[in-house]
Amino acid sequence: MIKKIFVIEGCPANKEEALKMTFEKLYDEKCVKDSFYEGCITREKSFPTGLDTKIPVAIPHTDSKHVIVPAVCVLKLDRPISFCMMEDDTKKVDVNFIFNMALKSNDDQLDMLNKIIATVQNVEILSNAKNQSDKEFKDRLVSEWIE
Amino acid sequence: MGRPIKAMVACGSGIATSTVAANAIKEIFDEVGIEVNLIKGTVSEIATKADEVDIVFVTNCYREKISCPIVNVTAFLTGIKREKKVAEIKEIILDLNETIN
Repeated sequence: MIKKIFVIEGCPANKEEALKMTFEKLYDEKCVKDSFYEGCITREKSFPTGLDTKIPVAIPHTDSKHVIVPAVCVLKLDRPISFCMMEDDTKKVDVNFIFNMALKSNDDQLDMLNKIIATVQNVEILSNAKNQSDKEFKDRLVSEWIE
Repeated sequence: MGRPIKAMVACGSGIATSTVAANAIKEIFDEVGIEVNLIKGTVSEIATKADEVDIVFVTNCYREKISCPIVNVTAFLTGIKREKKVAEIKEIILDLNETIN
């Protein structure tokens, strides 16, 4: 089960920097190995994760071998960053949030994954987050996903 | 009663978005009352596993030709045009079931 949720905010220049920011948080919190970042970059190149939800997001992730403890790091972007789209890698979408998911391969993640996907589709949660502190946003995610 | 439909759900990792999509797809099969054997896998496994299944669902874009129908299911992640996708899948699996059983 994913019990660790982190929220950070920033204005990275591109998706590599954005992925690095989420990786560094997950690494500092000892949730992922140092190979996680390269894993995310490689994965994003072959299988991009931009979603054109009403408020667009990206949901990067990589192989579980790079993960120590399942966790999610959400990066709230001060300005949108361009990601290639999962549905069609020739198209791009400017995303407002990055949900970097450090996952293990066991099936008990289904419930959590369903909740994360419900959140990325939830305009109310994401539009509120723009005016919330990182802590307020995190508390909301914890209440949606864990409690 | 014939045999269940064999379906593969694939994504880049085989563990994240395919897990969410597989759950949604299972619900569609339940709704139309058709049995399904679902396997999950990665996009790179599609080419080899396609011969063993009746239909492939994928969350990424996949442009190669394979031996069975392939349906993109990113709609289950975005929620955009989800109802349309559900209707499309129902039609496809009802047709498949006709053919197989």
